[in-house]
Amino acid sequence: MTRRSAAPGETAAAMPDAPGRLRRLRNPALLPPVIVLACAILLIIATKLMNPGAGFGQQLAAVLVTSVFLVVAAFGQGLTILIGGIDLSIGIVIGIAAMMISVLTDGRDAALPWAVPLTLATGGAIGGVNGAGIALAGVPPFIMTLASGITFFGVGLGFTSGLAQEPVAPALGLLMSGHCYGVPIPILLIIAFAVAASVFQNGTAVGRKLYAIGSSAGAARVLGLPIAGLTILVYTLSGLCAAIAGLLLAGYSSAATLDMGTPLLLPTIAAVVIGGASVVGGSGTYFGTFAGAVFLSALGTVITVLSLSQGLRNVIEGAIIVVALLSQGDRWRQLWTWLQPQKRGRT
Amino acid sequence: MIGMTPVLEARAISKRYGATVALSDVSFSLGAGEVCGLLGENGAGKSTLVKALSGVVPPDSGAMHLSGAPYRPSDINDAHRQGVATAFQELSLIPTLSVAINLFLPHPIVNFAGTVAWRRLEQDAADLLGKYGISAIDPLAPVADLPLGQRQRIEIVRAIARRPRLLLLDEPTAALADREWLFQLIARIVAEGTSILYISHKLDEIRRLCSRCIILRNGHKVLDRAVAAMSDEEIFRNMAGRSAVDRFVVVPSSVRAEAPPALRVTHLVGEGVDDISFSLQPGEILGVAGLEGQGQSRLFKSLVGLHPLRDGQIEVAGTPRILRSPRAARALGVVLVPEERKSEGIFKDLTTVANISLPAIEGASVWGLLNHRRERTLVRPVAAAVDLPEQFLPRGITALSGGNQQKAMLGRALIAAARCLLLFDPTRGVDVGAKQSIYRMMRDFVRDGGAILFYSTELDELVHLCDRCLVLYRNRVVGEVPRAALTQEQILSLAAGHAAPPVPAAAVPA
Repeated sequence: MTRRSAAPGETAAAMPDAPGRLRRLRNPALLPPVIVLACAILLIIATKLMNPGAGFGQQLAAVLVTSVFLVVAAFGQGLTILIGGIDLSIGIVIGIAAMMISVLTDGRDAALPWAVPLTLATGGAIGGVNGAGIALAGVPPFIMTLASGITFFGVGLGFTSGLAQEPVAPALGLLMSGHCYGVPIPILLIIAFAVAASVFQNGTAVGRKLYAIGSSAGAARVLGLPIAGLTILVYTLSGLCAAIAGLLLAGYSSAATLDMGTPLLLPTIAAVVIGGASVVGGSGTYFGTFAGAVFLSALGTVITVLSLSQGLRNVIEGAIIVVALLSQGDRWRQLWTWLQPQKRGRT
Repeated sequence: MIGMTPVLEARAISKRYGATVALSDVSFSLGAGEVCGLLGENGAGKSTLVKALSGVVPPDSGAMHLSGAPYRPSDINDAHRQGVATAFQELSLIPTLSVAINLFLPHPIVNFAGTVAWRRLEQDAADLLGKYGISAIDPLAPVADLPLGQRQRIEIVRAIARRPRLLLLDEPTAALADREWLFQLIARIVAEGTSILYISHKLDEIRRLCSRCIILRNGHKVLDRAVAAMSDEEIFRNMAGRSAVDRFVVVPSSVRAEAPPALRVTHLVGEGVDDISFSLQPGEILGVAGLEGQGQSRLFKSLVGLHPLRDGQIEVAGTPRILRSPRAARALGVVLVPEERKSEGIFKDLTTVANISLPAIEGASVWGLLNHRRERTLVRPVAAAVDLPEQFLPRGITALSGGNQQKAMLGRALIAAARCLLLFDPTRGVDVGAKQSIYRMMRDFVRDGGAILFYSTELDELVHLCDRCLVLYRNRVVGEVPRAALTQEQILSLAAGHAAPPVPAAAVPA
């Protein structure tokens, strides 16, 4: 049998590796993210060619700024997929969080100190309900998260008309459009978030246990890992990340609707899968998810530049997920062996 | 039958699974209307032979003939067409479907529209059940709602209803309370000319039904003779064999009799655990023997809270404890190394070092962050204790051989600071070298004051490693054999349900 992904913990340190060092990379789990990231850069170069007015740096910045929602929300999705589950409530939690922050602040920055924690707590609580239903009541993850998403969407509709009348606090808008030492603040947020997420998933004892649970639930049970507690933790984190994404999205669009997060749900799953994670859990890295999120964001930019329809955008995204799934498993590894000719023929 | 073409003739059948030889050059023949017994220990190759004959797996080499014509079934349906039907030990019924539809799978009766003709199907099923004396079963009941014994009857009836020339019965009485029903059925179809290959552990059944019996050991046919000509003892001895005795090093027992027992259980009762009591001293290797499905698996799982108990008491190191989960058990030093390495042991996506370090992962991290150097430092000594070469540690666990995977599982138990190891068949699917490492690790473990509860399907291991051996039969302990009297024959005869074991002269301590 061939080598599977190496110790998850080793990938965080290897993150800065560039495509040029491909042949020297030791860890085959890093190959998919690196290729995906290279594709994302090619796409950005393509947009630059199609739209020569803007500089490469500006294009890159634009892609990264729009990728922040996905980078954040896909982390939660990645964790649920890592333990063999899925979170289909992410889109609705994003919408609920965006609605909450605009209703609670009503355009006043002064309300942010209590409105932000309350919104995040709500997102986390919805995730916690999902986790409890899955871990304690044994409801299959996709049923549980789908049902809770629909339910909470209904609750949101009951309180609002689905469209926030109140403006979002201006400080949130500033967060998304401001610069710090010439760098857009969202990019700094992305870097901070990606480092923290990567360390959590691939560099902590808790992260290691999540890999174990996703790799074999049966073995985790016999070993006595706290499966229920960790499952609840993962779905809570997923709800929390969705709520953060909702806050940022509200700030970015300066108006909120209850269904504004729904178009992000499929891309969160796509980002995880494109990044090389197994859909049945146990493998993949946050670096991969991050690469997938940036790639999808770059793809979205290209589609926007080409002024393709939303329908076509969905078709392309769907096709990319299928391709990513097809290339999972042995194929990446075959490519890996092919890239290392000196290793061929050896065991 | 002399002069007639045999119904089945198998010549030099061999089958390997990876490095394991399951069947090696097995030849035999079966006459019309003959009932032939097939005996052997667990893992002797009986099930593989059944699978080869019934078309489930093709043999690697060798030839089979049915009534003189070459017989090479492509799958199980092809075997049915050629007149070979099988009642499997692991029943092949589909639990969510009704009895009626199960009886006629894979080709239920259809009407003109091509859909299942329900009314006719029910009628035919009821007729069939009536014909074979089990009309008490409702043909519309889903199989999952039936007790195991009734499911076994349906499995048997389905095989017989195909009117085969050759019927394979694999442990047909494992779950049957009323064996007479089967015996009468067998008499009836044998009178009609069907030949039967009858696989069983139970000697009294073989004696009653079969004129001849074949014994397999380690994939080889070791005996093929008339049953009446052999004593029970002779049959047991042939099943057990003498293949691996010289590999065992004799060491003095390290039992610490004066210490409080490492593990003591009294009157454990649960589903499949019937009033089991024993006591395990520090420094002792207590063997557990039993044929497949006699409650050993549930006993081991119930000791770490993976199988619910209704009653009974567990004491760890002299203190009564309740072990609700493997984590609670591990905290008290009781660690299970499970039976199914693939599904309950290894984490296939993790490296070997990560697989071993998991129970101690907190000790390998600082402020929750993993420290790889510290992890290696923790794993290195336990890897050495189980002879796992260090170069395997960074590799994915699935790249390792079964033996090295098992060593990693034992290393994981050691790193969890186990004082009482529950080893369930730790040498299954493991090469000879790894077996030696495992034996050595076990001896070192008890020498240092640990205690081991050790189930094995390999009787020679039990005989040579254990200080005592419990024998399970039908979920209870039917015997406890001290080291001095421990022989494979003794274990086998107790395990086969013989209340009064014959004690051969050879059992006198050497």
